[in-house]
Amino acid sequence: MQATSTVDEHAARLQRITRDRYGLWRAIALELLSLLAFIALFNFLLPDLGSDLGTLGAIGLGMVLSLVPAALWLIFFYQLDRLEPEPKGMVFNVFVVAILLMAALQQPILQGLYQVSSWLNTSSWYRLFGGILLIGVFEQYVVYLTVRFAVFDHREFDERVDGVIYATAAGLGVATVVNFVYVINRGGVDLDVGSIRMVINALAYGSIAGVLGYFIGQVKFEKTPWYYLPSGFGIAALLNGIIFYLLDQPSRGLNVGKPWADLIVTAIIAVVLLVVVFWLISRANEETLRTAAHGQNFVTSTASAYTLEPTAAAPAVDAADSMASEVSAPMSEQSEGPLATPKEGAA
Amino acid sequence: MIDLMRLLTKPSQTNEAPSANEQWRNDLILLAFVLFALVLSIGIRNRGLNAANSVALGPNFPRIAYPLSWRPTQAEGYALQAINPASPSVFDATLQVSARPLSADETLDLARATLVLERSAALDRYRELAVEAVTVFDGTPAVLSTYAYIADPTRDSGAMGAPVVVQGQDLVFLYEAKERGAVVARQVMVVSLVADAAEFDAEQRDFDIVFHSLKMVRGEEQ
Repeated sequence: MQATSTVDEHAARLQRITRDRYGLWRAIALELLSLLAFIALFNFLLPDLGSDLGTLGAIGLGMVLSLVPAALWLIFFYQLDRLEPEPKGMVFNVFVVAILLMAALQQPILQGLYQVSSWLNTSSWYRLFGGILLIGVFEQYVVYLTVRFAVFDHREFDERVDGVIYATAAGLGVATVVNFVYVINRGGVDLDVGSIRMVINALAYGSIAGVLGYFIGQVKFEKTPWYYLPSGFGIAALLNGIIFYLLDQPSRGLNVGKPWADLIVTAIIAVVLLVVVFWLISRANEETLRTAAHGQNFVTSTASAYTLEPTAAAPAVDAADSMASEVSAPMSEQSEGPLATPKEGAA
Repeated sequence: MIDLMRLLTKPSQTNEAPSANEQWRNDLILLAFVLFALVLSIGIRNRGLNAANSVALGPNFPRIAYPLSWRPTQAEGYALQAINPASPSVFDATLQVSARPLSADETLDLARATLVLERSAALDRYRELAVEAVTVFDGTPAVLSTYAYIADPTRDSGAMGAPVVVQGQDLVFLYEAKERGAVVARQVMVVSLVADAAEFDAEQRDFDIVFHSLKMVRGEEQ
């Protein structure tokens, strides 16, 4: 009986962590459309909004609008996956923690210790290597710290795709601070160009953080080699540096040149990254279920605790079937606790 | 490629969850990775801060370097002028290099005195703060004088900004241009670096790039 209970718990765990999020595709599409509407508002409908404001008013307006791209994304997170949406508070908390962490560390480290404004833009090589090794590493580490210590050990982080969702929320927090700094340093911005740049930052940081979130989700639920997480982190930092280098702007601020072309490029990059990330998640889920079907859920240490009978292994490997079973799953499954792991020494 | 994809999607051969120790191992390794990158970035920062543009001022002039982030501008009467566009003040830190032929029987002290008179006449509230004997180009005597004056940088643009107290340094030396060992020209060189007095200390790093290119060695303050 106890062995069967362990098998059931493990099967439920696998069902949970391999759950796909088809609602996310719709959320991404709606998010992109809403961001385009945000840009259209300030470029075509209200191009002169804020032009009569003083410096303080312009800064205030700019800072309020800096929040809009991130807020639009977070709103659509709430519409995700009607079966088990992430708690509103959790996603918002991660977003806020990222803002606070980035705001607290950015000035003393990037401006105080590294004085990036004095040298980063003096040549293309400094912008590229500084953008990757300093800016990219710093900003992605802020994302990682936020997710790791705000939500990683929480019971709500119970699916592989949660890594992407929470990391994206943290990335949007980083983007918000970058937008804040830009607005304050320039004493307010022209909202037609500024709105485009705010959206560019939100798209770029959100999608890059999603890449890091994939690896965070993997190390949460998989035994990984020691180089797995640093490699994934390195990929995210590399993307951070290269994307902003290609946009011909430092990731510390916003340039005025060719904003519409940058927006299109960034949107394409963001969509491609998110497509790749969720495809990888889908493949990872399939591999997990296939591994379970082969009775390889645990490393065999004691026969009775860890060895699973093939017939008692996790259900069918077909991800579509697992989704179908998820749809009909009773709501009570969603209140299950953290991942069930076999107790040590259990007979 | 297949192995890479398998590693990306299923790094473990089992579905066993990682232990808390393994999670902390991941954290520490990542921290080490980040610290390594940040240490490398310090080297990049140092190279960036000291990056300079080296320019030849002409056939009878020495080469001089100024910070890479500074922007050269056109100015009448100067062999070189460059400004720091990132100056936090409305008064941009400025480098100006001027030269004139050395008169007969003119010495370095006489040349400097002439310069001081010109500055007193041209600059509002000009005051010399310090004078220091230095050398340039491996031993050529020079004088480094520090001074201050009042500038009104926004007046020409029609704005009504407050005047600015400017602090500057003039490096005056006699330069002999040589061809095949023979002196072909003698010039009085004046290298001036000025900045808002409130930002003067912060600009010193950029000023040192200019002075280092002239191989300036400080002597005792007079």
